[in-house]
Amino acid sequence: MRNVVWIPVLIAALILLAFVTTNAYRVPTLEHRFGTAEGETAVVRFVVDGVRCRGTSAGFANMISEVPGLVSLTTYARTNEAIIVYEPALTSPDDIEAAFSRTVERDGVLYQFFSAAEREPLD
Amino acid sequence: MKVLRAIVQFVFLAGVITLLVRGLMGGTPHDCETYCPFGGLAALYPLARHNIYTCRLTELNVALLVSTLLLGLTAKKSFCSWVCPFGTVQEWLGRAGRSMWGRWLHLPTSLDRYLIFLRYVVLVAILTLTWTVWRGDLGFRAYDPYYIIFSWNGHGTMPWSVWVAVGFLAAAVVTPFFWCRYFCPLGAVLDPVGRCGALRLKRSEERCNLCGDCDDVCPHRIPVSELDQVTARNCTNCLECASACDRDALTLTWFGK
Repeated sequence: MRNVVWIPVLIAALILLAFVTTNAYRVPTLEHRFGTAEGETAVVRFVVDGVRCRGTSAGFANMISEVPGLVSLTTYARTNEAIIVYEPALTSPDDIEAAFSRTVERDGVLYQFFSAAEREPLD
Repeated sequence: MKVLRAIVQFVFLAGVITLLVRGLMGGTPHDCETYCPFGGLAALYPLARHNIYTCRLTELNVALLVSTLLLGLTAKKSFCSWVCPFGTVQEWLGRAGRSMWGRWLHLPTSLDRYLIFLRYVVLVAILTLTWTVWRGDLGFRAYDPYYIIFSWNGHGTMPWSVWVAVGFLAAAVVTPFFWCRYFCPLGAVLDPVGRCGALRLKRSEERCNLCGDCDDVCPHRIPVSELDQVTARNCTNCLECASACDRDALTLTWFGK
């Protein structure tokens, strides 16, 4: 019955293949456009605790929607990433982080739905 | 054989329990759903139509679905008896039942003959509802015992969901692999690919004395002693039949050669 060994070998190889190929065809969970850029733009990438599905991505977009100078938001639920294009003349990554990290009151209880685990400028 | 399969089963079950514990402790946003290949199927239509993932589904679910199908083509439905944590739980409960009753208890053949097609109905219903009425939301979470148990009645479940899970677990003690045999939609997807799986059991006519031990131990009611090669759609390559054979009449072969 030496062929039995093939089963765990195939399982391990195919799972490895799935993880290796996963990054090759990333599709955003949410793509949201806030407005059109009128000046120079910059890109910042956040890893956000709380961005883990399409619903929470929409909630995240709602939390930062009032920040001036935002152009677009792209989220990836698997990696909890939020990539934001913004106009540096109008806002900054600090402002954006402050907007989504703020607490929200629901039925008398304060919630913090999102917090930044990582932040890095792109480009 | 049995030890090797038990080790692999334990690894996957331990993995999903680790995810559950870490999730309950707030340590990870990932849970059993993150690694569910069936999620890849639920994701396909909105992905093809609108190039978006719905709910919590990601490219990892799709990649794992492809891997599971490839595993089906090479090693039949080994996913069910070697990988699936809920399959492992069902198997252990079935074994407990078997030790209580002294044999596998099966539903009457007249009933089983029709119920076995129920999983295709479940598959069609879940995909249709997910892609239309639930608008991409994973509404079947409330009825999915795998999700209910390994997410600890998590997001999307209902107060009564735990009773659905308890019901399926209790049924597994009485009828082996009750969920897998009659309800599992992923099992329904794997049926056609598993049927043509390359790694399959072959029975040696010279060695076999038709004692029927292989038929008795098969939890999936496959009449192994009547077959030259086991190509039945329900065979999960659990190899219980081969382990039970004193004459080594059953061997795992590539394409039955």
